[in-house]
Formats: sequence, C-alpha cells, structure tokens
Amino acid sequence: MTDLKHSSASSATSGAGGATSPLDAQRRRLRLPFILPAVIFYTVFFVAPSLASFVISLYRWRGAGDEPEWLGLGNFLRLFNDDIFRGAFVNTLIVLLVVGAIIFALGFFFTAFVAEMRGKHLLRALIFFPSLVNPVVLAIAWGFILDPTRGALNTTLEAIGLGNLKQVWLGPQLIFPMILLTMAWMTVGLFTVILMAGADRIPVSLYEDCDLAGASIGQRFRMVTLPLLWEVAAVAAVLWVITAVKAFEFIYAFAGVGTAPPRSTWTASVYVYMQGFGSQGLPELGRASAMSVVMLIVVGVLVVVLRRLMSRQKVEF
Amino acid sequence: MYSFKASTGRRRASIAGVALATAALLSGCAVFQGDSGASTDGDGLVFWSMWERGEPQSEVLQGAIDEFEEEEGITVKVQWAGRDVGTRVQTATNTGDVPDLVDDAVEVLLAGAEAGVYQGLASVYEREIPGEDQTVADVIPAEYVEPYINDDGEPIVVPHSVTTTSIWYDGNKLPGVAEAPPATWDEFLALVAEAKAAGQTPFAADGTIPDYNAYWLGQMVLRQMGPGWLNDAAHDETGEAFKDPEFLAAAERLQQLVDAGYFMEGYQGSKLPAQEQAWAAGDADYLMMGSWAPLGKEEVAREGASWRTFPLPLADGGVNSVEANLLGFGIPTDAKNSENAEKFIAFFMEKDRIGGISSEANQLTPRADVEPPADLVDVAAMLESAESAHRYLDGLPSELPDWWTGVFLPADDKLFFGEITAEQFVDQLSQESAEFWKNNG
Repeated sequence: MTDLKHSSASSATSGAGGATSPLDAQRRRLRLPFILPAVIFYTVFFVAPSLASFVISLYRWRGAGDEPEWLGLGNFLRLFNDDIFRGAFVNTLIVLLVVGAIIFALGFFFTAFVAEMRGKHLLRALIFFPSLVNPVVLAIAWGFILDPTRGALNTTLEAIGLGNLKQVWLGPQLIFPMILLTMAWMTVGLFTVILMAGADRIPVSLYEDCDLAGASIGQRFRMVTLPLLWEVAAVAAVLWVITAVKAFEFIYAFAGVGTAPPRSTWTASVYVYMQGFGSQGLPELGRASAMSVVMLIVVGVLVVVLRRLMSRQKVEF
Repeated sequence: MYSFKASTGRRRASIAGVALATAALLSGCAVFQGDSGASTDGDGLVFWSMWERGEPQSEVLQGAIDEFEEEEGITVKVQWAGRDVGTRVQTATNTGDVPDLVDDAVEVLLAGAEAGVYQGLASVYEREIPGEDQTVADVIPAEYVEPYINDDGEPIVVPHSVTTTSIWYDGNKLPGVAEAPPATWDEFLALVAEAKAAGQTPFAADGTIPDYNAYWLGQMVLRQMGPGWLNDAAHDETGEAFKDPEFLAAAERLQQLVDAGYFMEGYQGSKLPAQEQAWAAGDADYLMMGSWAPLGKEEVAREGASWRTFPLPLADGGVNSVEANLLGFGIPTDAKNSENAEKFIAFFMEKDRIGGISSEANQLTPRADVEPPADLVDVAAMLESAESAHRYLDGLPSELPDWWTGVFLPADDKLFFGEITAEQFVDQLSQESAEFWKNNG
C-alpha cells in the first residue's frame, strides 16, 4: 500500500519528461530548513557525545583536569582479560534472554487470552501500571518486600503457616534471580500493551471467520493473531534489546544502597557506571567509554541479527 | 521513487558530512577541555559542601558562614551539593571553574589530591584561629592527618569531623558489658557464646552492603596487623602477601563467628536498615558500624536504650590501631580565592564554632577540648587511647576501587556468608589479586 502511494506520488510530481512542478520545487526548498534544527540538535546531543565517547575510549583519562594518556586500543584489549567485564557481560545477556523470554511469553499469553476477556481494559491498565512508576522506587519497594528479616514476603509466609518456604531472597544465591523476576514484572506491562495494540488492529472479520470454522483460542492465536502481529513483535523485540542492554537504575537501586551493589549482580551498564562515576576513587573515563562503545556495537549487532531473524513476508490486511 | 532516493541521497550525504564535521569539531575541542568558565568573585568565597540543605551539619556551617560574612566582610556563595560533591569538583576542574573551598570525605579529597585537584594545606595549619591564642595545627592531632599528605608532604585536609568503626551495643540492655567491656578476643568470644547459649542473637548485619561486611575483617586485620598492612598486601602484584599466617588467623576468627551462627538469621540478604533497626530494637546484641550507628534510631530503639561502643577486641599481639575516618575541608588547586578559603577554615576551627558539629550534628570533632556528644563518649576515649590510627578500610575503596569491588569484596562476602573457609578465602584473594595485577599492572 505504502509503496503504491509512493510510486503514484512520484510519477505525479515528476510528470512527463521529468519536469518538476513549482509546488514540488518549493517543497524541496523547504525541506532543509525543516530538518536542519533536528539534525543540529541530534548532532550536538547524540552524535557528538557518541563520537566523544569513542575518542575518550582511546585514552586513559580520569576527567579531573589531568592530561589524557594515549592508549590506542589498550582499553578495549584490557576488556578481553577483565573477568568482571566478562561476568557483567554474561549478566547482561541473561537479563536480555531470560527476562525477554518471560515478558514475551506473558505478553503473547495476555494478548491471546486476556484480549478475549471482559474487563480487558482494566486488566491492561493494571498490567501496565508498574511501567509508570520510577524503577528506583520499585526497586526499593521490592527490597523491603524481599528483605529476609522484616520483609513482607517472609513475614506473610510465616503468618499463613508456610514458614518452611521462607528464603534469604536477597542473599548471594537468590539476589540475581530476584532481580530478573522483578524486572520482568516491571517491564511486562509495557510490552503487553504494545502487542495488544498491534492485535487491536487485526480486522474482526478474520476472527469471525475463525469462529465459523470452529477454531479454538489457541488456533486463532496461531493462525491469525501471531502472523498479523509479527511486525509489531519484531519492533518490540528490538525495543527490548535496547532496554535490556541499558538496564541500570533498577539493578543499582535494587542491590545497593549508597555503596556498590555486590559484583554478582553487575550488568555491563552498572560496571560502566562504577568505572565512570560510582567508585570512591577517581573515575576511569577511558575504560568506561570503551565499555560503552563495546556495548553500543553489541546492541547494533543484536538489532541487525534480530531484524534479519524476524523478517517475514509482510502480510497486508 | 529511485530518482527521489538519489537526490535525497546526495543531500543526506551532505547533511551527514555536516553532522560528522560538527561532531568532530565538538569532540576535538571539547572532549578533554571545557570552556574555561566564569571566574569566581574577585574577593568572595565559593564553597561547595558535601551536605544537603537542612542536614544538621549544613546548619552549623551556615551559622559560621553568616558570622564570617559579618566579621570579615567576605561574601560566601555556598552550594549544598550533597555527597557527590567530589565528582562535581573533579568535573569542574576540566573547566577551570572550581569552587574556592570544598568539604568532603577525606578519602575522596585524597584521591582528588593525587590527581592534582586539591592543594596542600600546610599554610592553613600555620594560621592562628581568630579569638584563640593558638594555630590550627595546635588543635588538630597530627596523627589524624598523617596518612593524608601529598607528594610535598603537606596535609590536604583540615578535618571538622572524625568517625570510627567499632562494635555498638545498648548499655542499658547489657549493663555488665557497659561496666567492663571485653578487652581480649577470648573474653569477647566467651561473651557472645554466653549470649547465644541464653537464646540471644549476638550480631546484626545488613549483608547486602559489601563495604559494611568488610568492616569485620578490616578491623580484625588492621587492629591486629597495623595500619597499612591491607593496603600494602593489596599492592603486592604476586598476591603472595595474603598468605601471611596472621592474615589467615584473622580470617579464621571471622569464620569462627560465622560458623557458630552468631549472626542474625537472614543477614546474608538483609536490606539496610532492616537488621540495624532490629539491633536498635534489642533483637541483637552487637552491631559493627561507624560512629553514625546511634543516629536516627530514636523511633525504633528499645526503650531506655543507651548507645555504647568498644573497639573489636584484640587477639595476642595486636597493635590497638583505631580507624580515624575524617570529613573536612579541602582547597582546589585552581581556586581563585585560596586566601579567603584559608581564612574561613581557621575561622571555623574556633572551639565554639566547630563545637556545633558535636552539639548540633552529634558527631565527634578532631578538637580534643570540644565536649563529645553523649553517644560518642566511648568513641572519643577509644581514639584517645589508641596506639595508632588507620584509614577507613585502609584507604582501599578509594585508592584501588577496581581491586576493592572486583577482588576483595566478592571474596570477603563469601567468607562472611559462610560459603568458603578462611583457607579458601586466602587462596581466592591471593590468586585473584595476582590476576588483577596481571591485567592492571
């Protein structure tokens, strides 16, 4: 449809022999003034800092009035031997894959089944609610719920006679799984709403056809909803990759209070912060920038791979 | 369609070119240097403080600032910057637009001084305190500032507050301990074993704060083996220094407490301030904490609580070193009004003015003639009788932050949570230290 529109517009404006109308010429002249402010804004606030990060990543620089020391790719090479970076990188991938699997599984579940229920708008609002609250507030609240001594979870389990299920939820073994679960709880609403909005665009007539053919809810989802939702799901997956790799404030507030959270909970973003600003000593801005550059490349590669994997023949409806 | 693409393609390329050139210009000019910034008032004083407006310390300082402005005729522009004041000063150093005076934790000031952010303050120590017939050096004990000197041998801080780490308890709940605190490791062990046998929980600890967990082993090592031992061992690129039998013995003492189940149930995952409050309410006997332990406990404390403290008791051969962690003033190297900053520091050191830190903010001051707050009488006595003073966690969190958070704390947490033995702890620390230096040496 879009392609058709473009080609007809193009032929209409080009006319016979490629002559352009005065209106088209005016439009072209206006393009630059319209896009220039955005380009300047984007360049100054996004492109320039990104390039600056890359430049800084080639130096050892503490950002405290000191002379930058040229290291070339030294900061990058060091990352390959850095156990902490490896651990943080693996944790980032775990967040990406495990939390991603949970939120998309739940997102599709809600889209398939909740969409059919009465009161779905209320339910959608309830699921979405955690996405509206500041992640730092949620992280602190979960900390108090899961605290083993006075937390609501253990206290409730004790009160209802299930004291044997009590755990040290924030202890070294469980703290990272708890971070994953609570992150999934916090994020699932946003992605469910995106998927449901995509599902709302599917013509009702297709579902009526399914009803006439006697299809079950599962079949309707597999045959109609999923194929027609695929493009939306692909965009949501890209959004999730970007969100997951940048995950920082929730983990920092969940695991630490004013001091560094335990190393076992660090993701790459937390490590970047610790190197750049979080320690009690002087920052290592060169190393922090090198990590940021690596993570930017990782996001880029993941997004490209994901787009390729999820590309399908576009279904028009 | 294609012709449209081709024409916009050229335009896109030129826009991208402009964008890249702008970015390159920006990055080339401004990555490492900012604008030189506005200068401070020619005859004023710009002060950035680690306190936030409304905190008792900010009120004490504001009172002194008001008096200073009136008596000296110097206008003070103060910014209550909060705890990340150090980062702000470091960043501002790139622009040259720095304050004239800063107050911050001494370890942050020292780290900054090593990068040239702060200047030596020998001349401040020579200044006479207005209204007193003595200099700043006469009222600040030299041993407090000894570890905090620059390459020229000058102290980089003039402290206004001193904190230490020790074992806190409620003297009202444990009158026997208040009368005769344990003096040796064996007496301490007998005391906690007795408490445990009587159904008490000896220790509370919020284990999700790795630095707090390290207070235990830190005190065991530094009070036993002396100031600087841990710092030296951390700098040993072979990691072999940690195989010292005395270090192993210190770790074994911690393991002994863990294995005996003396810490409150769930301490490994306790979120600050859950167990600290449980301790204040009387659910546990002792808390290893900084001098701020009694602060803010009014609403959760056991009725009649009276906060007392003693240093971690020593095993045979200890050196009775006590941590002296300081908060104080520093003057940036690029300060435009150093003279006024020096004047203010000497002005603030006057007994009644610095006394506000004790009477209003309930913190100990470095001046021995200022009466300590009621809750810190024991701390004052502990510092007075110490044979030597050591830095907060031997200066490692600020001096070697990567080693501290990446190597030491994970191993220490495992020992503190009972996941590994003292021997395994020593092996892990030694091995991971050597690996750390291979990558960072």
